[in-house]
Amino acid sequence: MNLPQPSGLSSLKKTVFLSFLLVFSFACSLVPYYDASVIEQIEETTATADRFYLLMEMDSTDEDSPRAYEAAEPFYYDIILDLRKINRMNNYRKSSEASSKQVETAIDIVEAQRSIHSDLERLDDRDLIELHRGQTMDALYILRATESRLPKRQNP
Amino acid sequence: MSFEIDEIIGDMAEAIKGSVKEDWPDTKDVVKQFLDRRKERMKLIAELILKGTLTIESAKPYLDIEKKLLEMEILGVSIITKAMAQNAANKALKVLVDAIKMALPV
Repeated sequence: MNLPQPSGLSSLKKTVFLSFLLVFSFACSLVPYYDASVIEQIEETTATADRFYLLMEMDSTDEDSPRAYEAAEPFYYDIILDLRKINRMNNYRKSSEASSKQVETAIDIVEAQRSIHSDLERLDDRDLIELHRGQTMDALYILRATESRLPKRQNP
Repeated sequence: MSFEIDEIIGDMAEAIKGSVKEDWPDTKDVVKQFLDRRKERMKLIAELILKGTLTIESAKPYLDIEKKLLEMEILGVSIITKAMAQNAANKALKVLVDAIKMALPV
């Protein structure tokens, strides 16, 4: 009968332990880790959107007011580009499929807002502006609220 | 109108609750935060229709956006639920690794 040698047993234990760690490391990667730079980018996007809707609320007589679609269009594209930047950051993160899907839906929302504004040509009703603002800001709030609850990396 | 909105918000909460099942007790606070923000906006859409700024037809794209926001919320809650599971698993793993480190001869 061949009994394992002490050194063989130790090597077997190491292999089992390392395999165990490997399995756990895969099992524990369900979502990406919290990334402060993603939060920063969401904040930047929120600031762009805030500025856009503030200008829209402020002045209806100025011909450069983003109440007119022509003046608003660059803001919509800025917000979409900012969101695409977040998704490029997501591409480098493990297990980020659901987060990326969330950002893609936010982009769809801004694109839908842009399309409505384009059809209307102008947004002059204050309550309607408030509705646009609320929906855009809510999309960004959901992104931030989700990212802020991701697990923080722990030092070993 | 407010009663109907409360009912709609309640139905939305049920939809989210159904998607998170046993994690509902841990996620209901964040769902409440999401839906409270939604409630005022649903009222606003109703008011815009009542005052004639929007018609049922022209309100439809805004309701489609609300549907997309709900999708984002459900995704968010599922991510948060997984994050909690990941946190718990990582804590358990740390306990295990620490115990093994202690048991190993230096």
